[in-house]
Amino acid sequence: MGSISISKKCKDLSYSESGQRISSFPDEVLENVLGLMESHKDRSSVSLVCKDWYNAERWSRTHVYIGNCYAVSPDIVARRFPNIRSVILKGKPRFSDFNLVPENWGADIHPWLVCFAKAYPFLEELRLKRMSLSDESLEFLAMSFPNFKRLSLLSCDGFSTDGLAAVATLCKDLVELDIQENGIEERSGSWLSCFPANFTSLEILNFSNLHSEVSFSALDRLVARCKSLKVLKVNKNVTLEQLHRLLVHAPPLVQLGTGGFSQELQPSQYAGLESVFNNYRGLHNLSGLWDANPLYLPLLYPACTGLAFLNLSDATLQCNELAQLLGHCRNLRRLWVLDTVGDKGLEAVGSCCPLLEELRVFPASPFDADIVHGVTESGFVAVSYGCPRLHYVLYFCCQMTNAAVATIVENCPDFTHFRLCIMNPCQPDHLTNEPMDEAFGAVVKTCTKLRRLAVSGLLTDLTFEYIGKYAKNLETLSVAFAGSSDYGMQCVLGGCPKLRRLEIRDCPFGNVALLSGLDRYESMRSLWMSACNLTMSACRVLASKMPRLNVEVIKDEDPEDKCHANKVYVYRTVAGPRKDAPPFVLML
Amino acid sequence: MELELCLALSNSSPKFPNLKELDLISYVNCEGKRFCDDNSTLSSQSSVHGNDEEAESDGLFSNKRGNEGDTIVGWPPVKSYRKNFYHQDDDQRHRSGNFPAVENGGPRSMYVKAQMEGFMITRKIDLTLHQSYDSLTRTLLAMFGKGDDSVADYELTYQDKDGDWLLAGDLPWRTFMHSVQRLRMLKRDG
Repeated sequence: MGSISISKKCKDLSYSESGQRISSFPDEVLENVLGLMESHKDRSSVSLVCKDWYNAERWSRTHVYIGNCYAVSPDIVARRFPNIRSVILKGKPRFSDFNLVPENWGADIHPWLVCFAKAYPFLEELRLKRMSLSDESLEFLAMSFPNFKRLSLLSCDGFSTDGLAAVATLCKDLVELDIQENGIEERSGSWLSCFPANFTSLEILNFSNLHSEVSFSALDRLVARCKSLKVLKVNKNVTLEQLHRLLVHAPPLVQLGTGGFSQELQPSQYAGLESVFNNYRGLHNLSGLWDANPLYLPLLYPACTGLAFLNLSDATLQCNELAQLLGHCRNLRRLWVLDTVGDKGLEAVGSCCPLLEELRVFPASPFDADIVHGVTESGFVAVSYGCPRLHYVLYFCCQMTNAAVATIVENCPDFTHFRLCIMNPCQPDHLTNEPMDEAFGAVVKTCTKLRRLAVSGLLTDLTFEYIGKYAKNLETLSVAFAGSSDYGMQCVLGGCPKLRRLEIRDCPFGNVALLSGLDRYESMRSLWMSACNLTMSACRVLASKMPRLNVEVIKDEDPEDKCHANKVYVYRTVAGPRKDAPPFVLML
Repeated sequence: MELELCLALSNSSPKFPNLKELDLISYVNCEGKRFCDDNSTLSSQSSVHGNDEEAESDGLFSNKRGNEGDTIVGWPPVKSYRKNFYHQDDDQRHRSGNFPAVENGGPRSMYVKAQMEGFMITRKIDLTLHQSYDSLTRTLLAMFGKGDDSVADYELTYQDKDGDWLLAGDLPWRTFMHSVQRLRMLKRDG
């Protein structure tokens, strides 16, 4: 975090906008002080104080976070902030993760790279989420920024392993390569072999979601020569035996993602792995474990003592296996599991992990009716009794009750993120048959720190009345198959002062609701509404009244229907309507 | 299970006194199929601003179907890369294009359901991680808590594309991989 010291004339007197005299710091001092500020929210506040502070802040800022790539243009960013080294950029609306946004919608990284290549030749870090990037863009990136160090791609698409090869070949000082959950075309695993023989700077390598097999010998040599490697997450093609070799050659890792965990082992191989894991007590994060053979889980026990984050969402564990493993993970703060562990497995979570802060339970077979597993309300309740510090939950379940949720939030009042997905849309409380309104009412009334909420089950407008009335810190709300009328959405728009992202699908909210939020949308990052009851004319009204919003209607179904607006995406922007919209996106 | 929310008749819905608007939902089955009985109520609701075209809505919740008719696009909200693990089972339902073409080429995971006689729980195993019947059998045994010494006690059977149950081992491994739908370990007699 360096601040740029620029020689400027020292002003004798500095006046703020209102004419009041404020203290006369030389610019260099101001920049040095402001250069130490890291929070972008604080920096935004600081930049509003007066023109001097605005300038000092913009010269001293080295990291910029752009939550919506269309809210601002690359040129505007480059003009305001001359010294950026690190960029976080997010693109498509979140529902694109669930295939609700057609391909080629946008969020192309290339214009940004072209601009940054001129404005920030010393760019070091790029973290992208839901952006589209081509292999050409990756190659351009690798060639344009000689100091480039960190690349993180999360839920991005449009590129192939050839693009990764370009990065590996050309980024001589690469420290981090983190490729997660992307729509990537896998041509081969040879990209990993492109790291040159004298390349040693890697500290973070995550290719766990890639499917193609990399050359093991190339990986082994890479791991052995990168003496600062701290994070290694391999994909499931890496066998247990290969993992053993990697761990023997690697420096002590802080985060490990294993490969497949079910290869049959000879006793000598098992013993070898046992001794390697015995020496791995400094591990903070553990993940991978594909197809984990329960007989081999004990290998991990010694490495689990200091574990803070355990990600078992790729391992189909049953309750007993999980219980035994968790007995060794007393320090766990974050746990991700599949619902194969069942309620009994979650009871074990409650008894073994008193320090747990985050729990995510994913469905193993979200579309499979005939496999009987999954979790219910009782698993969640059990966790809440044992883990009072729980503040982040993502829970996919097949049934829930109002009473259970009330108990849960009574046990854990500090929820900041409460994301409950009852997988059957519109399912009521399974004991009383009532809507789940009271459940979410309890959540918003009790959890005053709540910032993110996802609701599900049978819900009437009452849920949204509660949300609007009580959820004063809510920033993100996700709604699907819920509500009774426009009134529900109006309650939320009229009530939640800190709302930034509202995403709605398949709800009976219509034009009245949409237009009731006219004066809210500029204080929000974005609004998504799909399969609701919006018409084109209402969207046009919104667009005409609010010039600083972009109102996009995605027309990917039923071209004959000229009056419905089936997918609407509204976001604030200083960049005006975007020029790269594909034919199926109407900019109003 | 059926759930009806009706406006007018108080004896039908005493539990929902707070329903302020016209709202008829008929909930057909557990898979989430639903349709609106009365398609005019919402068009009147959304035509409050007089200039609106008649918004003839087909239903309270639009029918979002894959071609197979059983699933809703993007629901449950599980990310694509996770869903692709269950490629084997969901391939039928999702070939309609609900998923973008995410991965081309390269070995994908290929999970099949596996059962063992005497156990209620069905598990799933990724066939792409195995190259032989022996490796598959041993892993299955281990998954159900049996050691290698039980190899002689069980025989591996599988269900092929035609729905027939056959003894595994006759086909070359790759051919077997293309035709297997489910696995079952049966106790050997004698």
